[in-house]
Amino acid sequence: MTTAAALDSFRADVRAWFAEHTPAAIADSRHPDRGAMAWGGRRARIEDPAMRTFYDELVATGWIAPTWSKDESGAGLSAAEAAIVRDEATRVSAGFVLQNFGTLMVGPLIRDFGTDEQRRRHLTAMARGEIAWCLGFSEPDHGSDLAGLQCRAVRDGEVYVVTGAKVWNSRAHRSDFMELLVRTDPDAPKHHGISVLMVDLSTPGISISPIELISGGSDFCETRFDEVRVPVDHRLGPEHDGWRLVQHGLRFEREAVVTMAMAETGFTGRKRATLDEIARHHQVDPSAPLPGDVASQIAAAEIEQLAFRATQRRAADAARAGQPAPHPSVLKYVGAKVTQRRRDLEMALRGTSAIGWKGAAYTDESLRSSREWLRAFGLSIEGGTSEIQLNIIARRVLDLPLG
Amino acid sequence: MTAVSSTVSAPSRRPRPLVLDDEQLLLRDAARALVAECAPMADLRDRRAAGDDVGFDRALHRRLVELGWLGITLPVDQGGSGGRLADAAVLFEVLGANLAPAPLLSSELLAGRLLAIAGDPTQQSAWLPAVCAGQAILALAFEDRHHHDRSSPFTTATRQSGGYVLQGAKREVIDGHVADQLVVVARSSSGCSAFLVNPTSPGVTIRRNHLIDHRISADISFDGVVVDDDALVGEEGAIDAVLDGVLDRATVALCAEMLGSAQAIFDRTVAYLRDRVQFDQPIGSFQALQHRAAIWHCDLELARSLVMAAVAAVDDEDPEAAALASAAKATLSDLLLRSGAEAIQLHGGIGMTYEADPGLFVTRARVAAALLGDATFHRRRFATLNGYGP
Repeated sequence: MTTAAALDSFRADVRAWFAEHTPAAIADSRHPDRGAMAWGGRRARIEDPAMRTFYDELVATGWIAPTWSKDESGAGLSAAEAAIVRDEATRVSAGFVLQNFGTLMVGPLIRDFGTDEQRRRHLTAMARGEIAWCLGFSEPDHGSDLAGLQCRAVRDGEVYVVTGAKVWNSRAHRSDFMELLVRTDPDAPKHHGISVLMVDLSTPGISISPIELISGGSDFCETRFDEVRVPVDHRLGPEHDGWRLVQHGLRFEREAVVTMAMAETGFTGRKRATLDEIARHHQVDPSAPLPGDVASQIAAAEIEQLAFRATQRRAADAARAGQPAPHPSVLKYVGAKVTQRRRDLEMALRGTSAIGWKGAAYTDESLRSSREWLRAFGLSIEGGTSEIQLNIIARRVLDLPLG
Repeated sequence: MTAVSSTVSAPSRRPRPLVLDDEQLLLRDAARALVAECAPMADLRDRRAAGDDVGFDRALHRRLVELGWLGITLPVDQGGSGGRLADAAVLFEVLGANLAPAPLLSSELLAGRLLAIAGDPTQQSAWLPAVCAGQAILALAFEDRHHHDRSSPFTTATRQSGGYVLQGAKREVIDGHVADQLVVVARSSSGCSAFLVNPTSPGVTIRRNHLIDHRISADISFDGVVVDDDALVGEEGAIDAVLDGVLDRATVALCAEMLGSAQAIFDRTVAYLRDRVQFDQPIGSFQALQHRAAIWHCDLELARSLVMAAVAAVDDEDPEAAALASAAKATLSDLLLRSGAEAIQLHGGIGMTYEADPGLFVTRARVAAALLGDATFHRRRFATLNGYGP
């Protein structure tokens, strides 16, 4: 057990490291290199020399996958030390560099189920940001009912031939590899015929199309597989036993939800206008006090946010102390709700200044506000809908019986 | 690791982790055992049926004193345990789970705390050791209105030679009906002041209020009540700032109690959902009810975090403590009321009966929500503290 004093001293070292190495550009929320730094990958190019140097130095510390061993290009840190690294990175607006699907969700599964060869091949590349990963779980006909998935992988000697469609693959169009769930035994009960493949997205037969959302953005893709040949040694874990891996992976997904949510404050690096600033700005006389009902609505939203932040903090503290912690589904459900309410209120406070799609009349901030409001509708759907989270809470936390 | 650059500031103090420490876990277990033994919920109904005019169980009060828990946050040299608010919060939460009333908020967190901060040594030694020894109950008389208000009270203190004359009326004085000494907040020419008042003084009239939650409070009027100079607590006209801190602390303690109540009625309701069979299956298997329970659980988790953050902020003397206290009370007032209502609805008809527990929680919710400022008051105060209040 690391003592509190040792952790304090570690924190001081980490803080000093960031103070010395972090370039000023990191605070620029629209810096063109942010995407490449957050997600990495073969096609990622970091153009700004200062950002490039910072990224390389960060990779050298192993902090992108802080708890992995040094052999895996991690830093060999404890969970408490890793949390400090993330805290301190967030403090200097660099939290966004320390999170991606690879190191948070796929990597831990490869560490637990991969062969030595698979671990050698994928972990270091992931921790160094050289290969970007995405997930291929949902299908057009199988969203919440994930175990019903139909994407087929038929064994043909030393390859699987994969045919089917996946949807809601985050950033698949900018990724190099996909953790893909396929059905390898169509005759087994639905939870028992699934396998996990690690698919190089440059393989012939794969087509990826971004999906345009109501917000105008396209962070999700639809991916089609037409007789795609995937070597059998790209399978992760035993054949037909993929559902067990999915269940095991949920643990990492939940940890990732907490980690990503913790870094959220620093994720954009941009200081959002506070709700009362927004409300004031849209008054006839911005120096006049806010009407009581407006102030109360703002206070309610701020209090809810404060409670959510405290719950994230408590989840991390309790996990560290080995005490019962709020269930990750609680964080997922509440996080979506709190953010959606906040975006709603932001829109209401901006009035007609926020209803523009484009045009010189609208400020960048109000245009962003409407896009973020639209994007937020997805928060209670992606990664397990809010209703699925409530089902999980009812069963696993409250021990209520199955219907 | 690169050398520490001289321009880097040392890390700020580590935030206190939002978990109970080992001693608090032990305290919680011991307190649960005590409450299970001495304060079953049935006592509430029994006391009302017996025509109780105290509002709490004297035996429970004695046991709290014997265990050293009355005065748990009061200074050691006054007979207290010198603990943190976090320790008191553990006790309040456990008492709240059984809706067990005890003169802890009044004697320790309100009047006791005010004396411990602002009282002179004579006043402190006259009352604080007695509170800790269970020989005295103190009450803080500060509300002049039916809504919590921290602005200037109506009750006045007029200077006269050798002392003051108090004139006015105070509402809903917690434990005012059994107090051995009152601390009365009144407005004098130089501002807001506090005075020690013997409840048997001429001109003091105490009316018992039997409340919907089985507790008892007092409305107290002061008609030309004469007190000496040495009754003044702290500087004349300067009690406002002290009182704000005292009220915030007591509010957070009350929030811990309300959290205990909300969690308890939630747990009972979920157990009922598991047990109660309709249409040949436990009603807890129906998704409509599962989702209600799950959402309620989420709100409880948020509330618990907020209470713990407020407790930690008070103990750390964090400048955010006042805003967190208000955030917590706004949240807990709404949550406990909703918890009572959810409990009744999910229990169905049985939840409406006096024999079942949900009704006891819903009445306590209404009282606790109104005490020390309701959700509306605290949301507005939160806004004001953050610079955008109306």
